[in-house]
Amino acid sequence: MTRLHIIGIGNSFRGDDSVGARVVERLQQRVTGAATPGVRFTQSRGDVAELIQAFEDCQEAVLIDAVYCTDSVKPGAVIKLDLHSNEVPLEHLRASSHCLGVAESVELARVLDCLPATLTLWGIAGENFPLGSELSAPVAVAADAVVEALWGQYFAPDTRANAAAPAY
Amino acid sequence: MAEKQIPVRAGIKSRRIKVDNLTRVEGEGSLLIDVQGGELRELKLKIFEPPRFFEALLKGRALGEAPDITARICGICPVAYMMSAVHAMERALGVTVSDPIRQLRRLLYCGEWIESHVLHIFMLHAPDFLGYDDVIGMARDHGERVKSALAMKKAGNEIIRVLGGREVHPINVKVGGFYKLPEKAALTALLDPLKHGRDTARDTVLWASSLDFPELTRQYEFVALQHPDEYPMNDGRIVSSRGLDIQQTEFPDHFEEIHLPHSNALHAVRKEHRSAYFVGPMARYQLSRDQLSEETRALAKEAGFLRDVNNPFESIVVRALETHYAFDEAIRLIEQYEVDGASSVPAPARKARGVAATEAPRGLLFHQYDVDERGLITRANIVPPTSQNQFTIEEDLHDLVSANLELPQDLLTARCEQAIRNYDPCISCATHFLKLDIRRD
Repeated sequence: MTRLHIIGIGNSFRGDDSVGARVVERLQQRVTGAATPGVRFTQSRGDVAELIQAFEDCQEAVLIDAVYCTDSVKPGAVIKLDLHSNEVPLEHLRASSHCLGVAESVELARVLDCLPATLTLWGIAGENFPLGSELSAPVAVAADAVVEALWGQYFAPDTRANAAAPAY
Repeated sequence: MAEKQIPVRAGIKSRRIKVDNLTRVEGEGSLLIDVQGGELRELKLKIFEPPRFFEALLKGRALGEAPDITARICGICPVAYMMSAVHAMERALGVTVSDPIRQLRRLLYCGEWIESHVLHIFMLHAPDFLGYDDVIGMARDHGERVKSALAMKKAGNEIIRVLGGREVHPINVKVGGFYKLPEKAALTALLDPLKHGRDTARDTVLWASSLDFPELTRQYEFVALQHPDEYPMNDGRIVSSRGLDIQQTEFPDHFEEIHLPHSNALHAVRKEHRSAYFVGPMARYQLSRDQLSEETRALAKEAGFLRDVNNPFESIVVRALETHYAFDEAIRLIEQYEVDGASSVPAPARKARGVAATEAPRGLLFHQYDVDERGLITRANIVPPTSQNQFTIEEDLHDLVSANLELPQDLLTARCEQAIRNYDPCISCATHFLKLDIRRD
């Protein structure tokens, strides 16, 4: 069983929707060469079967995904949520470029009793989702901060304390 | 989400029903139905997901890029886009691939039919028949069935991962063949989950055939590929249940796309009478069920479905039968596979036009390309299955609403959404398509 599965979700070709994949990509580059037994990295489109299978096969899962902005959540804001204890915030995640997205997958896994012991969502509020576009400036900055926070929480030798979501 | 504007009592013949955002379909759209004086005055399937202009994006790109670019039109059926693109390009270039490559492409298509059909049957359509808002509610009472569905879908995903290089948007498909042929052992490792999946698919057919199907029987013109030796996926002539029998190159002579103001997606019609037609699993089943495997045909007979199916609500059973067949066919293809020959054949550029239609899970997917002597695309035309089914969906809704005006508002609204989902519409593909608004005052 995988100890820690870090899953970046999104469409690499849709601007800010690609932020999950970008974070995983940069984090993987940074840990290259370091001993990371039991750790798995995945760039995912958020397919329901793939996600639930991943949840079943790991002790801890970290999801990084773009989320929608609200009146109080501005582009580049980072939301860190314990999804094992809390329901998915549908106002941010219900809309998806897929017909069944992360929110449905997590809640379906909860009903099927397939959630890992620890499940955390790092949501990065995006504003720019057209096909072929790049990460918007605030989301690019937030991506760097999330990479740093995940490095600090899981991989840096002397800073293993839980990282707080950076404030924006 | 349904917007119930006016409470309706039985006997009232005029009302307006509106659903602003159809759920459990891929993409964004809505439906508006306006009934006045007991007559259906207006019915519009509105598609407002913005058009994605893929055809324009392809101009000037190298012909070899078409499979990978068009695969991005849809996250559910990228294999279908890749297959139509590679076949069209190969016909333009006069390239014929080897039989092992052809069989591997069919195997790849089996993987996509399994994952797409299972997703639709259980996650999107079954909650309608069982009275749940969504699959999450359904899973609270039918957890084991949902788990077994996920296992089936995973088996389909695995075919695409092994053969396509990854589960989504495969990267191993090229004009002329594949970049790399899979090892026999990598495919053989898929056999156990596929055999288990075939058993589950058998249960699915028998379960689906026991569901209650709303009344709606219509006489459709079914259109699908037909092949003398196999159930259609990658190859065949375009035939219809009303006698059409043409080569794929003749598609533009018999079908056309028209634009209506209420929709971003083009509506496809038969050119001769500007009439609706029906593509997808029911069309394939109507025209080619004799080509299904012996085991799938026996299962269809056991389920009481080895017959014409003209009620679109029964499409869930046909989709389950095709799922069983896809497992059966995938197992056959893997068992006979041997690594043999080159992974691709050369495909030198030349100025030409190429067309191809293949059978996406939702139905016929037509691609047409013009390429110049440098191998650059000068024109592209893509006709996805959902835009071909739009008029038929609207006609189904017309008959359904007309026959059920006495139903309470919420029930009629739900029935209309279920009727749309009969077609597993992929709005994202079509705009390159749904909200429900039924007005009854």
